Formats: sequence, C-alpha cells, structure tokens
Amino acid sequence: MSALLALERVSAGYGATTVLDDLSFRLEAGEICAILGRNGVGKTTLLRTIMGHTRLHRGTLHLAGRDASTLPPYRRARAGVGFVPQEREVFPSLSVAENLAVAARRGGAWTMERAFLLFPRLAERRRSMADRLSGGEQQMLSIARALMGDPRLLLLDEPMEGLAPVIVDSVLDALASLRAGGIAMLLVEQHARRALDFAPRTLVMDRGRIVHDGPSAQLRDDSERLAALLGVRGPEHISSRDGGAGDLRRAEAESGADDRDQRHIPEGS
Amino acid sequence: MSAEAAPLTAAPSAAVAAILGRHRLRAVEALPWLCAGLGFFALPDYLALGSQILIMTLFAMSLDLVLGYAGIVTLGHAAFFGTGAYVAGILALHGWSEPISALAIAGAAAGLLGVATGLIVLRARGLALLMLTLVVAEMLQEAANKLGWLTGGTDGLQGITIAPLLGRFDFDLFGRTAYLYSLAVLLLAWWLVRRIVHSPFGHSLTGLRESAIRMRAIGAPVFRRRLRAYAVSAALAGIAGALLTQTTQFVGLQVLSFELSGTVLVMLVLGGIGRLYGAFIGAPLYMIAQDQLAKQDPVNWLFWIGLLLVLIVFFARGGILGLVDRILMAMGRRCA
Repeated sequence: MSALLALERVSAGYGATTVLDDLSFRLEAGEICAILGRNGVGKTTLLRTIMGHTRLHRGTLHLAGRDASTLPPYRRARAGVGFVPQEREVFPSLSVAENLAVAARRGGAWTMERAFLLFPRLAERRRSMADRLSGGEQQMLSIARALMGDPRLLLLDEPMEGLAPVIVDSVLDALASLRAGGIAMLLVEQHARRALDFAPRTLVMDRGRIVHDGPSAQLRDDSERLAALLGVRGPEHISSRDGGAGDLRRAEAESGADDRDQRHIPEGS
Repeated sequence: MSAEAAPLTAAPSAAVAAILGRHRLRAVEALPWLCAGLGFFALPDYLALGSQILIMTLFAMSLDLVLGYAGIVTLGHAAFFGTGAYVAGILALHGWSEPISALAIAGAAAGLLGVATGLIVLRARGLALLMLTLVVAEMLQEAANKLGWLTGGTDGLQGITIAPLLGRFDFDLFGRTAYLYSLAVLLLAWWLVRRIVHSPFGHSLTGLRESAIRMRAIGAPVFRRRLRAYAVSAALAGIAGALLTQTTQFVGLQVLSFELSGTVLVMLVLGGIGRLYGAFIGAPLYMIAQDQLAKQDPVNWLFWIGLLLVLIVFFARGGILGLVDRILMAMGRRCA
C-alpha cells in the first residue's frame, strides 16, 4: 500500500539556497506526526515544500502514490493537502463566511455548517470582517478555511503560537476531533510537551535533516534525549513548569543567529 | 438557544444569509440611478456631457474590477477602451451600423485582446506589470497611428453613422437616445460587475490580492483567475469605448492614449478603489469639475484637478467614499 505522503531524498529551498538536505520520510493516511526542532532548522520549509511553495532541487514527493513533485500548489491543495500557515493569513477584507466560501470545494465533505460546528465561535462571528477577529479566532478561521478544501493531510505551522492557554485547549480539542475523522496531520510546534502529548509520532529536525523519528512516548519519558535533540543544554530546561517551551525559546534566543526560516518568499520564485 | 444547538439548527440558513448579507441591495445603491434619471429631465442641455460621464463611469468601473478587486495595477487600460472604440467605428464605417450587436462585437474584441495580452503581462507583478500594460497601450496607439487606411491615423474615423437604436430611436442631436442608451448599458454592466464581486469568484479576487500564496494553498489557480478578471474588465472597457464611438460618431487616437489611462485611474482614485461605487463618484466629479473649471479658468483647469487629487490623496485615503465612511463612523460613534 502506498503512503499518503512520501518524501524521497528531498533537497529543497528558496531560489538557489538549500534548506532541506536529502530528507526522506513517509506518512500514512490518518497519521498524526509532530515536527520539533530549533528555529531555522527547516520545519516551516518542510511544510512549504509539501505544499509546493519552495523550489524542489532534488528528490521526489508522492501524494497518495502519485508523483506530485512538479504539481503547482493549487493542484496539491485539490489533491488533499491543507495548509494552516503560522501567520494565519486570513483575508482581512472578507468576512468570516466569505473566507470560508472562497475555499469551499463543490461536493466536498466539508461545508460551512460543519466548520461552524467545529468552531461555534466562528458561527457567532460569521459576519465579522476577518481583521476584526482576535488572534485565536483568526487561528480557528485559518484552520476552518484549510478544512473547507477537504484535506486528507493538514499541515499546521505552530498553530498554538501566541494564543492564550484556554484558546490553545479549544484549538487542540478541535484538532483532536479531526483526528477521529481520519485526517492526517503534520504539526510543527514549539510547545514540545503539547506536541508530544498530541501526536503519537515525532520527527526532530536539525539543519534541514530529520535526526530523530519515533514514537512520541519515548521522547516524552526521556527528557535528556529530548533536550539533546533540541539542542538545549540541560534537562532542567525541559522539565520546567510550562512544559519547557519558554525555556526552549530562551535557549534558542541565546544560541541565536540561526538562519530563520524564510517567512516571506518573493512571488513567483 | 444554547451555543451547541444554535449552529445545528440555524447555521445553514444563517451561513447563506451571511454571504448574502453584503449581496443584498441596499436603498443607498439606488442613488446613482436616481441622480442619472433626474439629470435626464432636469438638465436637458447637458445630456452630451451626461453620456460622457456615464461612459467614463463604466470605464472606471471596469478598471475597479482589475485594480480594486484583483489588485492588478495597470496604466494601460485605454488599450481596451480604444480597441472597443475603434472596432465600433470601423464596423459602422463598413456598413455594420446596428449599435447593439456592434457593441457586443467591440466588447468581445477587447475581451480577446485582454486574454491575449493578459497571458503575457499578468506573469509580471508590480512595477514590471505596470510598465507592460503601459507598453501594450502605447504600441496599440502607435499601430492605430500607422494604419491610416483602417483607422484614419491622426485624423481619426469621421462620418460614422449609427442606425437607430432597436430600429426605432434615432441618435438625436440633443443626445437623449445616447444618454438613455449609455445609462442602460451602464446599468447592465453594473449589475454584472456587482454579481461578480459578490460571487465566490469575486471573493477569491480579493483573496488573491491580499495573499496569492494563500489562495494557491486553498486550491485556486491564481493566474487563471487573474486572467479571467482581466478579460472581463477588458471587455467592459471595450464596451465603454464602443459607446463613446456610437454616441459621438467619432474616434480619435486619444482613445488609446496614456493620458486616458491615467485619467480613468485618477477618477477611480478620487472616488475610491475596490468598492464598486468609486467609479460612480469619481467619474462624474472629475468630468463635472473639468467642465466647470474649463469654463471658469480655461488656462489652468488641469491645475485645479491636480490640486483636488493631491488633497484627496493626502487627506482622504480611500477616496471620497473612504472619507464618507469615516464621517459616518465618527457620527455613529457620537450618537452611540
């Protein structure tokens, strides 16, 4: 049986630069996988590469057994890839309902009503312009918009970033209910603990490569190994009160000067 | 109603209503048509100017579709206006004097030109796109200048006769038929553009203006949608140009000029871009100001237009409609 997503020796980046370096992995249908790693190791670039927003230098990318290496992004979206970008990027001058309608697929399993059932908050704000939404509401809208395209694979780039803990919980609840619906997910996350709890499998990236791939439970129980993989100096950083995310961030800031993922690539590159 | 039950029962109709909310006609949208109707009866001596205003409104509205909605910045929209004008003129001079079919042919020709040039220029963005649209219009104007046997060169096309509208209504000296004809075409075009901008396709134009990458990621073929918007806009601009030919019975090189591309852009910016009604404010304002100022101060009238534009750009971003919005909001806040 062919995997839902298969990357084979992929090297990719922006323009002539290479961010992902000879990277391979497979994701089965309905599988949930967290991607951890310091800033600038290529996590966002990996998601962008799956979506088709980067330049694939070498290697192949298969979606449900079909070669998608040269498919433009909109064809990949139609083939079942949904992308929730870190910046959320809702369309500010469209209302909530219009943001969803723009992404609706005719005859798809996801309708606006179903999206509103998942996020009742959006139903209340359906007439509001998207730029009037709170950060959490925008995140919900961004996820709902990706779902309107009927994805079999959802790419989530730090969906919890900057959200209040209670909103994080409700977003995670919604994602958990999608898990039951059989949607596969790749979750890039800085909150290592949250991600390990949510996803059964975890990839750790470093410098454009996958340096660890295994059940999340292993890393959850082995703080030292996790800290070593994430490049944090001592285990005490990990086991602190807030699940280590704050300390991870600080550690990243200290190690500093990593090439940050390129968030805004020029059009048409 | 509890929060859980509400979406189950109310959501389907409510979701539709939320989409239709902006689609539904509001009373204020009748205002331009009331003004146009009143103008017909109250100002019978100004119907020639009135027709020109209606035509420029149509032209500016076509520009709004690409510039205001799809975010395609162009300085060469006269290419399509002029193409429509010349096609209508050439048809009439070669015996095709029935106006409505000629209008359709002129619109189709301009639309085809929109597709042909859009395939090339829409691959560029920003400044490069701006220059390419400019180049297309300049090349067409130069071609029209050189093809004297077809276009009359610098003399333009003269002696155009148009058959009575619907076989009944002559294009009279007072411009009554021309005015009502232009008004009817503008009304139809407005209805079409309004449907387009409130359709999912129209919303996707807004989406790709705001984030083309995001539109691709939700499955929209961005280039094709931009091209489609460009072609529809070109066809409408061509219809406006053909209207000008049919109502003035003359075509000159200025219908393809850079100046005209710039003027229609100024009209739209004055009124407010990306809001459908900017054209309905900007075009009349510009044309009436031009008419009055040219009488009062024939030497410097362009200066006053310029000053008006500077004031708008400095103090009323979003044009006059943007200003109205802000005033209404301020008043609403005071009342509340």
